[in-house]
Amino acid sequence: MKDIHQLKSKLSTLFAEQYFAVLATRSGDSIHTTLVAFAAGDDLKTIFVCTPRATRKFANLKQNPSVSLLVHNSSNMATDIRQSIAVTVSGTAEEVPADRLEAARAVYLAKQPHMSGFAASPNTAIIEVTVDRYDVVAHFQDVTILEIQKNRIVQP
Amino acid sequence: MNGILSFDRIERFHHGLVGGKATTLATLMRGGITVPDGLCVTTTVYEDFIRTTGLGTRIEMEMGRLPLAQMRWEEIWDMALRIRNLFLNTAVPDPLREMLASELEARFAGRAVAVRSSSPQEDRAGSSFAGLHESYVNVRGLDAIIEHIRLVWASLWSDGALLYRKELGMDMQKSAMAVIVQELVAGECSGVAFSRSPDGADHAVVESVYGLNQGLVDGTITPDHWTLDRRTGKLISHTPAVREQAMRTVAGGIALMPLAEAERHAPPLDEDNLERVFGMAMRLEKTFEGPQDTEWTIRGESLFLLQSRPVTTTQDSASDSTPWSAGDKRPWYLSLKRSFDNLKVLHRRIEDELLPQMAAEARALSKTDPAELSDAQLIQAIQTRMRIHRYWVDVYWRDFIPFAHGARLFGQVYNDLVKPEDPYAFTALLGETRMTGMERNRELRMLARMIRSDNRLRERLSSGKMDDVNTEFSTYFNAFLERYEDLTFKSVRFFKDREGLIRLLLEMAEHAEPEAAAGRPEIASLADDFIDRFPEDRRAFARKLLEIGRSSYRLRDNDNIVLARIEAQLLKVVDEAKRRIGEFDRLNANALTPAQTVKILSDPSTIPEIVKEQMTIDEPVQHQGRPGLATPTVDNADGDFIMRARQLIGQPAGQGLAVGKARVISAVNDLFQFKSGEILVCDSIDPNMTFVVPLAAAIVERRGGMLVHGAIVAREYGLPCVTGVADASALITTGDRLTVDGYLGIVTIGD
Repeated sequence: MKDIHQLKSKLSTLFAEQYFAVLATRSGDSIHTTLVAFAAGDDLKTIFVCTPRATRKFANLKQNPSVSLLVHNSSNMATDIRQSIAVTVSGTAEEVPADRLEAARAVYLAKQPHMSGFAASPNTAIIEVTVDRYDVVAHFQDVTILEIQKNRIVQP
Repeated sequence: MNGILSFDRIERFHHGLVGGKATTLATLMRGGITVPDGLCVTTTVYEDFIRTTGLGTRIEMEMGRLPLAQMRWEEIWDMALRIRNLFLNTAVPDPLREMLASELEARFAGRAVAVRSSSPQEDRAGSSFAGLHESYVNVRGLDAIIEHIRLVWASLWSDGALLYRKELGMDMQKSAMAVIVQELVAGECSGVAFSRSPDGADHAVVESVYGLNQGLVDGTITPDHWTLDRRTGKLISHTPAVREQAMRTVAGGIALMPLAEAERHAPPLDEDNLERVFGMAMRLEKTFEGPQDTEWTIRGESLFLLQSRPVTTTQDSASDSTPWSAGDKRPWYLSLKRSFDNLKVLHRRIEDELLPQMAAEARALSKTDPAELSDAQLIQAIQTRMRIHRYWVDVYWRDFIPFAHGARLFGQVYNDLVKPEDPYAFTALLGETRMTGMERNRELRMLARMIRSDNRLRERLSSGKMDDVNTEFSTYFNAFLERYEDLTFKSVRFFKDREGLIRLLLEMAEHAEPEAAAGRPEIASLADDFIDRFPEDRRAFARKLLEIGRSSYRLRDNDNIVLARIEAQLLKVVDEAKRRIGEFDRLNANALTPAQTVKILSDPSTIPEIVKEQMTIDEPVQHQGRPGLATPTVDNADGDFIMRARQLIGQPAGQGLAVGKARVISAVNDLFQFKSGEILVCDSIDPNMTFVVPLAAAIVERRGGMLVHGAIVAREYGLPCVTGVADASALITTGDRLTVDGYLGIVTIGD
């Protein structure tokens, strides 16, 4: 696990295999978690989820875009605690703007084709989480952090 | 069926349930060959046991800690020890126990039995688990039989068996164990027979000893050896043994007994019986359509077959390299199981002969002052010392490393008897402070105490005025240097310059002396308690085992130090040679190997050639045999992505919790920079470097195992310790804030 290329490829595999993640959003002092169907961008820098706008998670992330997701491959066996991988994603969420909507929807549906009706509904927002870092937990307590450096150009 | 099959009911198709050994015995019995009668506790009973008790899940969790391929042999041993302890501490549930009881009682009622492994994976062509799973002889009484069935189950997870299954690519999780319970036939003589010699030669081999077979099989007793013509059975040769002892049944087990005078002078097998044994081996080869490796015993007029399996031919030994110089040393390490008697001999040899010889050798060599030698003498001295060093490195691998099994054997006996919750509780009985390293550390503490109580002395030393200090201190200081001048680390002598040592002493003096580990149980009372658990007539054995365990445990420190003294004597003459060679353009004099210094000193025109050699070899001097520090590198950046370790897992090897700054040791100088309260992080702790341990708040080591030096010394000082942290010295940087959890084996980096 302690090789960045191996680590990234593990993440790609995990994101390809797992349909669901737990999304945590915040409103004031309260944390709210929900199970969401997600898709990850090929470059591991973005995670996409869909949500109806009239939901608590949507209201929360509009108010506080700082979110966290948990993706794991545990299969509810006692031994998973040693064998499964759990990844905490920390990042910033925003609704995908109209000009990039088609591209985002394509990524999302490539992974979740059965969600096409849901994703196309007028009240559904596609949310893009720009990842700041991954906390990868393997073998129960082996934690590696993968950070994405911010070298984006600051707009004047 | 209730999970138990008597031999007469076992058919070939039961193989998966009863294992290879039981299938074979049943087949033979049916074919008219005499085997001791018995039954098989099938794999379904094993599976039932691990399922209903939850043990199966706990084993899987244990196996999931680390991939086997990444484990050192000591870690594999540790894992096997923990799994074995799980078995020992898991009672057989009542319904299962009642079922076993009724069958065993009905058949054996108070008679002595052998309890033997019969794994479905063993004894198939191409996979001989010979000796990897356990068998017990002379077990009597229901409780004892059930206890030993559990031990045989546990041996499915022994270190050797784990590695072997891994090599053969067998699925660990699907492994199961059947157990044979069989009437014990205590024969007058026993032995093995190969219908074709395992070395590939086209003849048959019979070996025999008086009494039981166990002494022969584990190598304690040398057997008489016969070679016979496979076709005619004609005797080709007989090599008699020096017959002294036999393994015989005693109350509660088996023991070595001296032979009667008449037995010493006569081979255990006469001509008729030799012919019978040979005949049986050939008949078995026919039955199983391939050469057989058999075990047998003779009682009265009856020849009993104990076991038959395909001959596994010894591997091609064309290469002349020693087994310990192979790439993957783990199979060799794990083959180092020694019987108690074997260890007893090794113990005396090491303590009485080898260690004193090594110390004397180092002392004799230290009498020569290299500076006084002529060039020719110096060359000769280097060559002689290279030979001497090489010789002792070989002794180290051949005798000292196998002796390390003494501590393990003690641990196993202790755990079987005491069944402690903590499988390493036994180390408390082994720990005592007669290690050379500990003595050195005590002397350092005394020097630090002198500085602490004398402000003037401290000032003088801090300002570098060593010549102007009081005579008491300088006397002790010089005596210390003289005693330990020849300690080495990564092929550099430690105390070549005094400044580093003074800096370290000043640092030690700055801080209060670390207390000895508090709250440790009294060793003497633990030892008494252990010995009292044995019946009267076995206590001598228990005492001897404890003595061997302690010696083995202690030796893990001392042998390295004594070997380092010899290495230091080699390095001393090499250093002198380097001094004479001096600086040459592009020649890295410091990195010259002993052989290279000899070459240059004999003929300076070889310098360009050596420079070329140096440029093509990345690693400079690596002395073989002793643990060197590898410098692992970790690829941690890729485009915008940066990887860093947050939490590392290893093995909890010393209980406690500590927070402090990391000091990663990769060179001698790092040791002398050590500050009190820092956490010692290194690839592998060499006993020669443990003098900084009194300053450390915790120890983190890449090398895994409960009995590695880092773990031993951490327990001596009561420090939290985590071993087996992969890439520790690469992932952690000096100055990182660490939290070391020695209870769970977790190291957290950062706040």
